[in-house]
Amino acid sequence: MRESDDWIRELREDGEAQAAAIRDLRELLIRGLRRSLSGRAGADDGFLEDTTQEAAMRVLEKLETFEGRSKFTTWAMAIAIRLAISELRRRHWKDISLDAAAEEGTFRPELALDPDPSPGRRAAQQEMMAALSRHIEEGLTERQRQAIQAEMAGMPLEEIARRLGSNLNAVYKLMHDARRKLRVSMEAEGFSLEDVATAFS
Amino acid sequence: MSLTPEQSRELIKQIGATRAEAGLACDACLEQLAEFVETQLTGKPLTAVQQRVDEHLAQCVDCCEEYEALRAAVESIEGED
Repeated sequence: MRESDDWIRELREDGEAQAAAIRDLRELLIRGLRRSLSGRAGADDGFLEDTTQEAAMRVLEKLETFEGRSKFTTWAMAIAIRLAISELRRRHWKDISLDAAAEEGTFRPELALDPDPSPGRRAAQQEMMAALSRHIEEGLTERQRQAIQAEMAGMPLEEIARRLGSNLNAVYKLMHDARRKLRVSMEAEGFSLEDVATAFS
Repeated sequence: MSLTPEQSRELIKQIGATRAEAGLACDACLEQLAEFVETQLTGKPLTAVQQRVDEHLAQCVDCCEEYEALRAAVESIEGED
């Protein structure tokens, strides 16, 4: 079994040693991808082969950036997983606009209520949900509301970012600020986190 | 179309769990993921940076999905070596 230093040395060499290391790297990556993406839509054998090929090339390109903070194999697998998941997300969502996802993620307060609560519990839930619905509609920017609703419909942040012409970090911050705004608004109306947990427990 | 009751409750839960500061950004979290997975698998205590990774994963569905996939992959390749 190769240690990290062995992997780095052999992948840097020329000839058969490098070829063997690349072969073994590909086998290891496809094994890991197959297990972690098992059952996931789109992750068929063809996809796994293509992704493994690209991941192996990416690992070779980034070899000099390996810092040894983890095992080489874990580091390489992280590169492969990033590639695979990103591509699966892109393919799954490619025909769905931000507007369509936001529409699917629209918050309707009546649907968050228990189907058969006690009268007092139902009244508490209705009041809370009406407040939240109002804050979503009136307290967020259009961009924040769209992003929150699209995410609730399942759209990944990097796909939201793509459609907004933004980047992953900026969208994560956008979402955080939106949720923070909603939490502060709810608390300002007297609804604490405990109140919400109790009403919906 | 609108959120299901379960999705609505998930939104409420996420809002309630939102911290004052955004903390680690996604890129920085993903950069630390390999090391974080190994620490989790060995059961060692988290470093200060890894604690921030852990907090980010609790708030970011996408990064959490990637962590779980990486963890499953690493468990697989380590188990068969």
